[in-house]
Amino acid sequence: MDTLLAVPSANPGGLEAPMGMHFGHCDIFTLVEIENGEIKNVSTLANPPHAQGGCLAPVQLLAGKGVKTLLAGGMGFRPLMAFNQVGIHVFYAGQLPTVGDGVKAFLAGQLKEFSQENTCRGGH
Amino acid sequence: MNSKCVLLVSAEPSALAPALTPFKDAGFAVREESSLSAALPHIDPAAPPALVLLDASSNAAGNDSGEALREAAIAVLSRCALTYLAAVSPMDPETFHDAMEGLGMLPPLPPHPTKKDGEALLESLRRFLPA
Repeated sequence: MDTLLAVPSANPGGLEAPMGMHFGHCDIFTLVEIENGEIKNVSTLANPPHAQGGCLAPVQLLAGKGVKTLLAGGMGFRPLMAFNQVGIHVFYAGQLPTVGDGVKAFLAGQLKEFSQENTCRGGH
Repeated sequence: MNSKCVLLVSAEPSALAPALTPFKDAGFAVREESSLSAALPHIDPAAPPALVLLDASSNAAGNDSGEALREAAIAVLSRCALTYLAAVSPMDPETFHDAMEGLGMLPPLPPHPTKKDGEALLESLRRFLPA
């Protein structure tokens, strides 16, 4: 399995960092390069400041970096739709404390796709 | 994204004309549709309008309740989440923000918006559009 994975994180990011539980308001993104099912590289990417109506900014940022997969604990309906529409697969990892725990669970195939029911207000 | 197009969904577009003047002055084309069902086919996911403006003060989005507007916004985003969304709503900005949580909507226009209201909306939109 090869992919570039993004995980909303608390500062300073990295595998030991706590997950950022709402992607739009997280401190930073941890980017994890996965090659042949193993972690090849870990880096971080600043999250742009959030403004009302501006939740496309991180979607476009991550898509522009070539991210193909996102782990998240919470997000709104709009960014979920936008991620789906730009071809980034989103998995629900809200139950896991650290970025590294989320990545391990993803690699083990233990995460479910992030659904509308997981969004703020459940999409309704 | 068609960064110079606004899609207005309103049964009474003339009441919103003052707020759309700044957009027209800035070179935006404004397409008017009287209902959401008529508007949706004009949202091309490959080249969506820069802004979809839902008029919740004139029944075009269903009725005046937040839930009807929310359903209308979800219908637009399900077709294309890469367009920006705003609404004309009698709700105060804080109530509106809470009612539309997760939908990434721009700050609302009040019913019978003025040119100044339109200028503020255009300014909000411009922060997110490519230069």
